[in-house]
Amino acid sequence: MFSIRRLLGQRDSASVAKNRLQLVLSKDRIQISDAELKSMKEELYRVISHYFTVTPDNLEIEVLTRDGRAALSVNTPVEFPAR
Amino acid sequence: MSQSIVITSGKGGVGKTTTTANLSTALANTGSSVVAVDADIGLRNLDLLMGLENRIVFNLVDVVKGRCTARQAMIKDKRSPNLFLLPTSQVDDKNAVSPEEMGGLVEELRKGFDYIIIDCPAGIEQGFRNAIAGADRAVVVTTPEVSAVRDADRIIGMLQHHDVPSQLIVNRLSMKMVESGEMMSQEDVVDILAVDLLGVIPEDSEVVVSGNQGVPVVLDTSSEAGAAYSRICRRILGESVPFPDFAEKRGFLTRLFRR
Repeated sequence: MFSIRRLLGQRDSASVAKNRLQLVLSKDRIQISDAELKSMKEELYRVISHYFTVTPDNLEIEVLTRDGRAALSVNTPVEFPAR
Repeated sequence: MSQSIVITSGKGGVGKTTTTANLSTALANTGSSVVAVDADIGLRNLDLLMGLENRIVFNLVDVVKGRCTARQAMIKDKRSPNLFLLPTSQVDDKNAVSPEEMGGLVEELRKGFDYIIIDCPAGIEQGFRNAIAGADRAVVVTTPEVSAVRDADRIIGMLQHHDVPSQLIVNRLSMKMVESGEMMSQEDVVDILAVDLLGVIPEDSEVVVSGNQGVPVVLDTSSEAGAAYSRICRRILGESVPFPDFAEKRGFLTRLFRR
């Protein structure tokens, strides 16, 4: 179908919706409060920074679900410390 | 073996009551005995969509509180001899009954019916807990909009927590908008929610007309939404019914230009 947005090089709003939902649901599914999530992030950052050089802002926490099972995923770029 | 199915969604206004009225009607028309239970205490509407609003004497709260028997409160449908409505109270609130009482009511209804279809209120509070208390399975209704899908995800999580298996209906899908990239498709929604798809109801103005008249749209087999509800009914009965491509009904020129 003809789409003005597509002609203008903008993303379809359907894919915007899907991406936004996937992001927000990965947070919703953790089922903990924003404050708890913040403090979990800080604690994880403290632990990981004992071993790697990490930036707290780059630490991503999400819950992935597949076939009714959930997994906590913590993702962060690391720099190896000079030994 | 009787089966109890709760129709739920989280968000309001996505089509729970319409789905309850249509699936109950369709199941009854296959010869099964069906009772449609309005569990939305205080916001009575299922009676309106089934066209039975003028026949109510007793309601669900009266039955639970022992003020009458279930048989006294149930209203026989105008068209189908196998279909009954258990209306809810318009004056009480969700806390008028407990999940245990609702569970007990569903157990009692199992003795007389093949299918107990429960219309759940919006929200995740006591009304939701009441409505799912006696349910063997859940049908989660959503529309392809961000707010409805997010709420459906929450509901699916809560149903899992209560060990109630759920299947999804994507309601009010506009194929035209999906094709122009302005609406999430049923595949998108299923992908996000990671749940089994029971059916898709295309956007259809006949649903409003049927609501106006109190005649479930499934009785109008020429309507797209009615045909979609019939397919869902057959899937509930265990038939394997293919999902049609709603795009096929579009005009020749539109299809030509899409190539």
